[in-house]
Amino acid sequence: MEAIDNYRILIVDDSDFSRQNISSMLTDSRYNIIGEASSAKEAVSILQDRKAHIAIIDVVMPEISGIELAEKINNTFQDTQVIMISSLAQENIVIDAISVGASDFLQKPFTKETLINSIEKIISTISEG
Amino acid sequence: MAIEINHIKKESLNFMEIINLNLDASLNIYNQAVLKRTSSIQLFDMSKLSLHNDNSMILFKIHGEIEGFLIAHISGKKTIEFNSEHFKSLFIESFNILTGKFLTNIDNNLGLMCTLSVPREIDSLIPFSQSKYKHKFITKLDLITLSNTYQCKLLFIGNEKKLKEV
Repeated sequence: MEAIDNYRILIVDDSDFSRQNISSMLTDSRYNIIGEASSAKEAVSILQDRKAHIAIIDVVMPEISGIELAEKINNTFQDTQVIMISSLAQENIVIDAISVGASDFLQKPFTKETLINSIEKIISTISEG
Repeated sequence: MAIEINHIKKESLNFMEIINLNLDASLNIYNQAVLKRTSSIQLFDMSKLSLHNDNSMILFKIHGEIEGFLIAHISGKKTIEFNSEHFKSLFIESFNILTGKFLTNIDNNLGLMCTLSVPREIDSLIPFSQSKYKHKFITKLDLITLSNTYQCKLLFIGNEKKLKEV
């Protein structure tokens, strides 16, 4: 199996501030941010053009929600793992996220350590796969 | 951190207390800012708030067992700061986080399930002055960034559909 030394990450959040913060947390050279999308539509467009190992997706977004986007990614871009993020963390929302294939759910505001731990767990499953 | 509710029966709480106890006192926003409450929840009279043609208000719609709106408003320095896209985004995301955590706390502590809309900018409270909204509350917060402190208000306008028995 080919070793991966560069994990491709897509950030999807309608908040510029949130995207910038997440991006600033991912400074390790192993993380390659392949794009930032402010909507589900934009995210799909990026994924059609560039492969991502991980998509970090906000739940509440205009027009198409992060949950719907995660479901589409699960169905269409099956090599892309999803981390859902949201200020809302009610049980039903977390269950919805997991049911559409999200690998993890982080409530905002999360620390850099929390995000990295989540990414590294996914990376370990990719490496073992 | 949310204030803990210990041994308090829902039926003995009025709605103002529910908001007061479940709205975080202070939130660190990714080490870029702190949102800190500077007052308790109070009733407010819409007619005494002159928030018309004011383009520094962000509205979140709440659906579910609480129906209504949370409106975040920045007082002072607003024109200059709100013209900055970076600051506007920081402001919106800070209140998005506060509001989301509030609804999560209400679900965890009281079993009241609600969802939150995408935030949108509004410039007037006139549409919300209708009498169908039973509750109108206000609280004050400071948004403390790395360079400045901004005085803000958070308004709640709405109704609780049903408070469940404990």
